[in-house]
Amino acid sequence: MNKNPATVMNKVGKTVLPYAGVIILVVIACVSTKTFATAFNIRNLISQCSILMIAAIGSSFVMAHGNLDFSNGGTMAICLIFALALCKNAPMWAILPLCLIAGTAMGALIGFLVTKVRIMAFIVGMCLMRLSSALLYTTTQMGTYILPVTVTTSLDKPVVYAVAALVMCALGIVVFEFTKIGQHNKLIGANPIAAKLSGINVKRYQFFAFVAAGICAGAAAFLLAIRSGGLSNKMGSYEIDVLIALTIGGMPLTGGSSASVRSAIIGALSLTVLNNILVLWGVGTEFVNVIKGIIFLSLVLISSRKKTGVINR
Amino acid sequence: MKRFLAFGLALLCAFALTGCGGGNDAEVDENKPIKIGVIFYGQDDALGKAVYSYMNYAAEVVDNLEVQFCIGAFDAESQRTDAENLIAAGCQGILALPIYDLSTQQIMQVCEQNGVYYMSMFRQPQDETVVEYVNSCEYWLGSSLEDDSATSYEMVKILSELGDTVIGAGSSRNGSSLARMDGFDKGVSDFGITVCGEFEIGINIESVASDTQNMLDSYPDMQALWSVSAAAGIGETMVNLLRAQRESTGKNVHLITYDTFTGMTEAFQDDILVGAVGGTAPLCIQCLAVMYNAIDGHPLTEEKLQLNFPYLIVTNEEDLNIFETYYGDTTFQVYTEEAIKSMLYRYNPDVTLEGLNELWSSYSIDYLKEVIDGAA
Repeated sequence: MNKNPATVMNKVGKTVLPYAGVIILVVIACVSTKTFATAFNIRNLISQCSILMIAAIGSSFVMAHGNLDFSNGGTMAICLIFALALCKNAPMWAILPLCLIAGTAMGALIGFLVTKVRIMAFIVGMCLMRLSSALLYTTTQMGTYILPVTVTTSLDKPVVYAVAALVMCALGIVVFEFTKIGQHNKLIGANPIAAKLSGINVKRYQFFAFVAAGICAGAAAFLLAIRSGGLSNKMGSYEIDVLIALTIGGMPLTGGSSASVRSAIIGALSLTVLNNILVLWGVGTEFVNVIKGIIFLSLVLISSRKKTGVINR
Repeated sequence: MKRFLAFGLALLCAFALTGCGGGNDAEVDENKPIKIGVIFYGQDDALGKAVYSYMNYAAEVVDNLEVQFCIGAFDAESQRTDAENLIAAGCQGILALPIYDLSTQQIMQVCEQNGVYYMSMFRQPQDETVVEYVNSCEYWLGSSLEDDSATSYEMVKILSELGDTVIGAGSSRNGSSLARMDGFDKGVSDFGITVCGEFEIGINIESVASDTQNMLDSYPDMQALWSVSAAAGIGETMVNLLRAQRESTGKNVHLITYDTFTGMTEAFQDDILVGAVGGTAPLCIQCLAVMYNAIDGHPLTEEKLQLNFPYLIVTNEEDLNIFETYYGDTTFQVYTEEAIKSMLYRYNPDVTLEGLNELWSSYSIDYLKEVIDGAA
């Protein structure tokens, strides 16, 4: 069977290039600094990356069906308020389940508002951002919510972050690639009308996507509690970072069949490594944002892929 | 094609950046063995600009000192991330303005695990568990804070000397303002002042305006207003209301306040403003000296430090001109090369904490005038 070399190259490119950005960054960081590949720094990278990665995995589900997800930061903040303030007297082991319960409930609420009340997802996200900010302020004015140092030091270990990230990645990939939740959301993103005509309950699967995002935000909130050590009046502002990470990772903003959890993983890694190496290089604060902008643009161009199997809407 | 072009661009950028980044951890330079990381909220406002300028100047004049900034983190997790990255970049000490007590705890945790000194600037941990934790840490050097209590006391004394014995207070009895209120209360008690009324200074400028007006209407015998803050338009609003009050009733009410604001010259000329407080940015040099000496193996003390740094109290137009010369010019250095080196054991083996406390406590408008005259 003859294969057109251009087609083969294009296929190889599609597979390899999304990883190129993060690989380039890692290679350059290893070559240009002595400390990047040290155990200490790798531990830092794992713990810094995990929260963003898990939140981005959740947002992948929402973005797969073509919605912009601005709700993860607000959801994380509300999960923390629920777990650390409202359930202040709960045992420490209950923080994770409480975060997951709150995340699921928030995901369901957002899903309801988007699919039933028909409010656009990014507007719900924006409102949630404001609401969570006000709730955090009010809650922290009423008392201090600091986790005991013994708890944070015992949980604040790279292995905890790594296991959490790996578990959520594995679950994310399985649900996204091998269940109807992921597959149908991609189809909805590609063409909601075609998806509806083919018998898919569009609203139902969109709702599931928001619930998945909420669960991930709950898990991310748990890790954030460990890394932050408690509740403060400004936390969980991950909305923009998640969107940047997904974009860098090659997630199409309009969703569709080329949406993938891989984008969240690659994007979160790239963003974390980039932030880390800019400090390791000692780049002046005046230039950091300019440099980030240039590198983001380059990474987006490298990792962007043509939408396959997508019918333009 | 687009992707390959982008690939090339990314490579080019990354290699170019490696060059301009200076590769500060790629080689060990004998002349730069002390590297201090600074975590700060920003460099756009007056304090941020001044701290950035003073720290970089210190790094310029002290041969073996390198200072690396991480700017812009506003929550505990981001500040902790900055600390981790700075330590990975080779910093042997971290100076930070922690946004919350949580930040102090988390940065301390990272520093303690990695044998890196940490000192808190412009903030002192308040939460008991955090205080207990940091005090148990080997690498906690302590904290340095503006001398709020003594300054509030001094402000009340100024009013008392002007003969203002019935005053109103714009207060804030929570969080970082508590020390200000303690000094105020002590001053009121010691100088026999009567506080006719008190209102909460919040962030809502309209509330501040209506509360101030209510005070003026309700207490016609009020001779002065003491305010815990004049930031974000509060100072301007109060001066306008006091000026309008004088025009309508002929009665002058003095204002003395924390923070500086626009229109102070006219307010001094009109005898409305009798004092404004600000200018504590050189506190960062105090922290830098403590940190440098500790990393250099000559800590100023084995105790956990709780330092205070004096405010500048501007009480007239002449003082204001001096203050603005200093604050309006970010290149102006309050502490000269000689003064900075005198704080460091490496250059001055006779340095002691007592001696430095004396130097730091002499920071005043008069000290500033001497520096400005010396520079001229």
